[in-house]
Amino acid sequence: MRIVVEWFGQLRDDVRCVREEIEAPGSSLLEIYEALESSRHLSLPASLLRVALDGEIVDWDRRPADGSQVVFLPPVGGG
Amino acid sequence: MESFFLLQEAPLDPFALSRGMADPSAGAFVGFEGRIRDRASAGSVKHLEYQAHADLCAKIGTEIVTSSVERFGLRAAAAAHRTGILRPGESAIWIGVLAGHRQEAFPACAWILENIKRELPVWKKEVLADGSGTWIH
Repeated sequence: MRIVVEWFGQLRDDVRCVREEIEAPGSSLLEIYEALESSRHLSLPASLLRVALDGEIVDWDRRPADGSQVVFLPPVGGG
Repeated sequence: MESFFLLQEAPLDPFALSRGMADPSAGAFVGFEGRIRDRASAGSVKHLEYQAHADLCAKIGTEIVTSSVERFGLRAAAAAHRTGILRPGESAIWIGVLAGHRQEAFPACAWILENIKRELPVWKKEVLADGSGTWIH
């Protein structure tokens, strides 16, 4: 299953990429993030993040479909 | 008037935004502008880089301003947030609140700001004069 991941903030700096299509390394969003955290050397644990799937903020146990858009949201800092 | 939320890379025009907040039944208008400081605890600030998830910002930002209208009994509320590279003195955020009286307007403006800071998917990197950068949250 392939998904599209868009990166922001500190995680964008980690991966040096804005948006990419990847083969999902897991089935739930949490599994996918934890696999990427290890393989891509991400500097933030899932416990500090929220996650969005196809334009909605969702729980980490949700499972993306083929072609889903996923965003791992670092702690925000607006204003 | 309709409440609204804007996300834009172009500089904010707080005077134009405030002029647009018009309702003859409103006795109070409170505006807030958040600007980039030239000093941080670690040194002189060169600029702040703001990134945002546009679709989620539109949804969450609109929810925040419309919720404030109901919660505080406002005539209208609005907010605008910048993205991109902002230098000291530039406005990163503008908030406008129209209400019958000041007693609703001041707390509503503060409530919108705190909720934007807590919920809006916006990220900022503080870049110092020495070139070092830190994501602020």
